[in-house]
Amino acid sequence: MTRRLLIGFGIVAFGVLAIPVASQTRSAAANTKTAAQPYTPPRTPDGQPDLQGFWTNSIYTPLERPKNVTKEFYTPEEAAEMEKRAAERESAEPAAGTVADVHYDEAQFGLNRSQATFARTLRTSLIVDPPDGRMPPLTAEAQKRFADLAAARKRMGAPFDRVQNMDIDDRCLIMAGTAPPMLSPGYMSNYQIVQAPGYVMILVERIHDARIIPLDGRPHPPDNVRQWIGSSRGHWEGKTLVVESRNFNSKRPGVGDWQLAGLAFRGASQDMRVTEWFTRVDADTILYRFTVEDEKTWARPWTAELPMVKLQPQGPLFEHACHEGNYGLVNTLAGARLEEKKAAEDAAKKQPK
Amino acid sequence: MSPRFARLTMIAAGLLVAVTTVIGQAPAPGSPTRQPSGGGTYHAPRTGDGKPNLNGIWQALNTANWDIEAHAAAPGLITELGASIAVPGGLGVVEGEIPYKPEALAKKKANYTDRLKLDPENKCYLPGVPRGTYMPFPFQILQSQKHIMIVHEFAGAVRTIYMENQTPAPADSWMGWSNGRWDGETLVVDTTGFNDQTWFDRAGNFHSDALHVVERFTARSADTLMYDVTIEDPNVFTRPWKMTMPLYRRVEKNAQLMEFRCVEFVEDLLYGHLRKQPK
Amino acid sequence: MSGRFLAAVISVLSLATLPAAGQAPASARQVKAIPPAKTWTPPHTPYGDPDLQGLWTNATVTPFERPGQFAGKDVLTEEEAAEFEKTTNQTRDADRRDARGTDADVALAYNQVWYDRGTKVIPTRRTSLVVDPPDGRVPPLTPDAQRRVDARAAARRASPAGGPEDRSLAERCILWPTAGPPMVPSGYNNNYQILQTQDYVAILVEMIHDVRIIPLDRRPHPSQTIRQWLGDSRGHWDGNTLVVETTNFTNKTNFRGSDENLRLTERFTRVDADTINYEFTVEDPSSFTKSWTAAIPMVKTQGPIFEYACHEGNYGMTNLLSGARAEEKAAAEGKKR
Repeated sequence: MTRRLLIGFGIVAFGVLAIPVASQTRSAAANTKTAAQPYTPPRTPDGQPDLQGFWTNSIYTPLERPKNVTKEFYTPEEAAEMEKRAAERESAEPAAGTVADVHYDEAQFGLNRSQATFARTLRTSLIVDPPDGRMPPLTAEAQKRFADLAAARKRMGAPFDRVQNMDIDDRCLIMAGTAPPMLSPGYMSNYQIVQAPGYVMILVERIHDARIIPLDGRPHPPDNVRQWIGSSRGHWEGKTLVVESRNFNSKRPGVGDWQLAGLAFRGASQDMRVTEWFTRVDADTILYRFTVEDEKTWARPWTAELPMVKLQPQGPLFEHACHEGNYGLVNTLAGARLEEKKAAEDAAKKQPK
Repeated sequence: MSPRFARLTMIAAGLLVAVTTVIGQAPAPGSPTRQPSGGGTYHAPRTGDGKPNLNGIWQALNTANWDIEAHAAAPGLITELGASIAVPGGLGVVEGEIPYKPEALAKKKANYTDRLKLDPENKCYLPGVPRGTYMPFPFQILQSQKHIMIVHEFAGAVRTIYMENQTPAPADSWMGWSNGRWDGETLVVDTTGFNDQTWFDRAGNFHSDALHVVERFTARSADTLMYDVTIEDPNVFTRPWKMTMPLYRRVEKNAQLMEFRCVEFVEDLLYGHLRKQPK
Repeated sequence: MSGRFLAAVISVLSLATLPAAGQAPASARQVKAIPPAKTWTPPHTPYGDPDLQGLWTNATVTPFERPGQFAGKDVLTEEEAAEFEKTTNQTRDADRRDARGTDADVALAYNQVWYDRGTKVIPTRRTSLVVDPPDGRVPPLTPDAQRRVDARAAARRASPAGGPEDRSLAERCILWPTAGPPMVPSGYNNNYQILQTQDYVAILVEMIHDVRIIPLDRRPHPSQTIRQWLGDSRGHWDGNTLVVETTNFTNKTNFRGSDENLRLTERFTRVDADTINYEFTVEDPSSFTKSWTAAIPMVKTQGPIFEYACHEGNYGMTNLLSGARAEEKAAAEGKKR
């Protein structure tokens, strides 16, 4: 009797111990070095490692290693110095009354990264492969593609001739930091991850884009179906969520008219494939790693890695109704038309009668 | 400890073991939860004459009417209608690709380019088969012993399916001439006698008057059907090909087909250029 | 003999004696005025309802309203009926060529082969399809309705072909009188197919491939804000009679002057294997000074019903309008000279 009771209590105790302790202190060294104590993330009710919460990938470290840097890691002091200088640049106010003064007040609009939560790494670049921390060389095909596009863009006219000539983020179509791979767009680098049975959803604050990633191994759509955020399929490998994406379109930054095939992420072709790995390495940190493969653009694949850290406070994400409030676009075009009119009038005045 | 208390403890311990075993496990997260496709083991209730009861108001929920093949979203053709008329993306209902003959593919592309003028749907013309089934309008199946009627809300198009006294098509028509039979749980409808005037969708997919359509309607659950279509037209395609999609019952109370007599709505489109102009 | 056997005998007799509609006028056809079914039991659908299913036609030479020549006369004798049929069929014969070389000859438009107006009076030999009021004529319109009718006629005279909306609903391929409701015969294609399920009666009207889907489940009519060309019909069985009540008409449906307040009650009773007694009552106090009723038998006919793709083949409308524009142009040019 007593023995049975003890077994019962022992099982209870085992159950209690099996539940991992939650909060740990945020580690500043969220680099690839393994934490001293292996971290086991909690689980969602359907058994997925829990990535849920509000995260940011805002970071001062550049994608590519700066020209004057050769080593892979800064010392903590060097890293702090780098961040300090970057923050000073961001918060610098231009001289009052100058054209440069008429801009976003970065401090007022919370666009100064140092005002909010941001991630840190001792790495000198986010790119970890190639080992020199820079993107691989472009292929000849890519160079030709860029040249062709530049020519096509010239034929389209000036940037403000029509809305289709303007940048896609000014047009509120999609913003950097949304499609895979997700790199901080400079501000509003906020993400909310929600997991449901069979799905991981990543809500990107910028233009409220939701990446819905099914985990059931279903195939990608056919090749002729192209989307801004591509098509993503995920699966778990141990504690790491692996997401494979393809089916991108080529209407990405700097293109213009939607019918003009152009550039995907950072100059990639639409046949780019991206693999992302999300591993929760502690209560406040997801290690985010991605590889970009595109034989038509880069001589070889390249890989980057950075932490995503928990936002403080934890949300909410506000609705970014970009298009609905896009007075900027209208005003820009109207201003350009007004300038043209003035220039024409000035030219007419100068004509000899 | 009393025997009863001991027993209770054992039960509690057993429960605890079960619970902690579940927690301690690493179940496969996100394991496939695919629904079984049509043609499973569902046995529909029967009509008074003993046949699977397909009576009801049904509607497709996909983008096939825009384009039966896979397609991403795209702008529409009328600027003023903006997003309202833009094309939603869809993964397609065709198994594989449509096997056009080369010259027919050229015609399909020409249809697509000129679809604003050419799409018979715009003119409120009878939609043909199977387009009527997957237009974004409900249709009603009325099942009697000798005939099954399919009545479409769009343009009030109607198909009579002859279950007895079957004959070949006596004349060409827009909706074709349909003969039907039962194959177990499945209603098989064989339709010929089409003219060449209808399209399969808004993307310009078309056929000739040699079109032969075989449809299979199978109850998949109380409120869904699986709908499989085989298209054959030796003038246009190199081989037969198939579409497949679920159809959903309109379950709201007092569901009914509304009139959609669009002839009135297209008079200006068709005859506006013949209108007497005011002086 | 038992009631059932008698009914069967009568059925057989009526099969033998009733010709299919649309036949050429035959001589010496014995037409028995079939009394309302007291003893005939219709077959039933698997759901226990009287079976009205099949193909039916309502073509007849009996006029809708009692013509002046038959004033005061309810029913024709067999001889009178035969004479009336002969005269009517002769007058209507579109293949008559007694005015060759005239405009009237060309204006006949259709040959007789296209017509299907019926060649027989209705079996009861009544002098009109209207049975109430007893004078066999539609009651007078209200002053409002008369004004509406006059205004329509004036508009039609002022602009007979300015645009498609100046033409009749049939010419526009929107609605044909055979569909109604009520369902009244027209020049041709007076064919109907009735199909019954457990919860619905469906009536396919050949022109314009309209299917009246009539629910039997006593659901309410939709909100009064919904107006439809065919209105909205609800049916129920009253003994062996299907009673269909229809409301929610538009103000454009215009059945002999009706407006959106029209409430129509139709009754379908199968009285023998080949006949459905179809009767309808029109209630529209804002249009007619009193309610009125008409009865038109529906008689079994051979199928099939063909697809009537009216709108798809509506060359008539295009030609009519362009002809009118051409006439105007010619007139304007004539004036200039």
